Amino acid sequence: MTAAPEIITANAGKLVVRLHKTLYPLDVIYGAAYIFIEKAYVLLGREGENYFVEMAAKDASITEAGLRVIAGEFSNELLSQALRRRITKENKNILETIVSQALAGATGAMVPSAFEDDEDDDLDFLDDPLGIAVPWEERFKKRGTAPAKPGPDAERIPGPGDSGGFKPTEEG
Amino acid sequence: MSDSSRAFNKKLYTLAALEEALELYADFATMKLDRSGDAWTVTFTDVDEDFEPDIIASEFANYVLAGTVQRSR
Repeated sequence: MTAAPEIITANAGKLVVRLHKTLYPLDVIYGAAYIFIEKAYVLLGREGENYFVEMAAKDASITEAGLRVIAGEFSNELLSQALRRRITKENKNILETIVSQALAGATGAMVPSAFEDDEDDDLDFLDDPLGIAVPWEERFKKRGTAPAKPGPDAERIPGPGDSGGFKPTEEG
Repeated sequence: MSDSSRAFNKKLYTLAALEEALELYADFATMKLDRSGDAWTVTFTDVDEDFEPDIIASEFANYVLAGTVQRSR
């Protein structure tokens, strides 16, 4: 038994790789083979304790060296798939917890009680207990400090922001 | 791989994926399914003259593999 995928043949545009069952679970082989469908025709086989992966390159002009490159890439992909499978397995409980909490929150099951027991629930949309809708003028007038708005013809005493009370005379 | 037939190991491929492919590729070739033994063997005859028999058989095999992988997830 060899640990690495073993190249059985690599010629005439076809590549056959042997994988031992105990080292490469079927899910891992499926994952890697699925990715190689794009660049090769893939056929899986099984004999005794081994899986066989036959790949025929879609590029008919591929050389033996090119086939060996594909075999190397396939081996890397097998490792990648095996690692992904392991991480998924290790984090399965965490993922399930996160997803279940997210789904419960989305359905309203996690609404805080402070929002549920709101005493102002029977308020109408026209009610304004905080007086937000009261105009500024009305509020200010109640305190009695709002200056009376002068009319257009009222005699106006110049203030500090004016031109110092300067009134032009006929003498200049 | 034979040019005009492909064998699909029954422990590696799903029959549903194979049947779906048989239906889909019926326009391109006449296919005969042999269910005996450890593998389903599909033989391709009367392949559409626009395609090479080997290419059709190989594309068919890829389709069955993809269907099997998708169903296994």
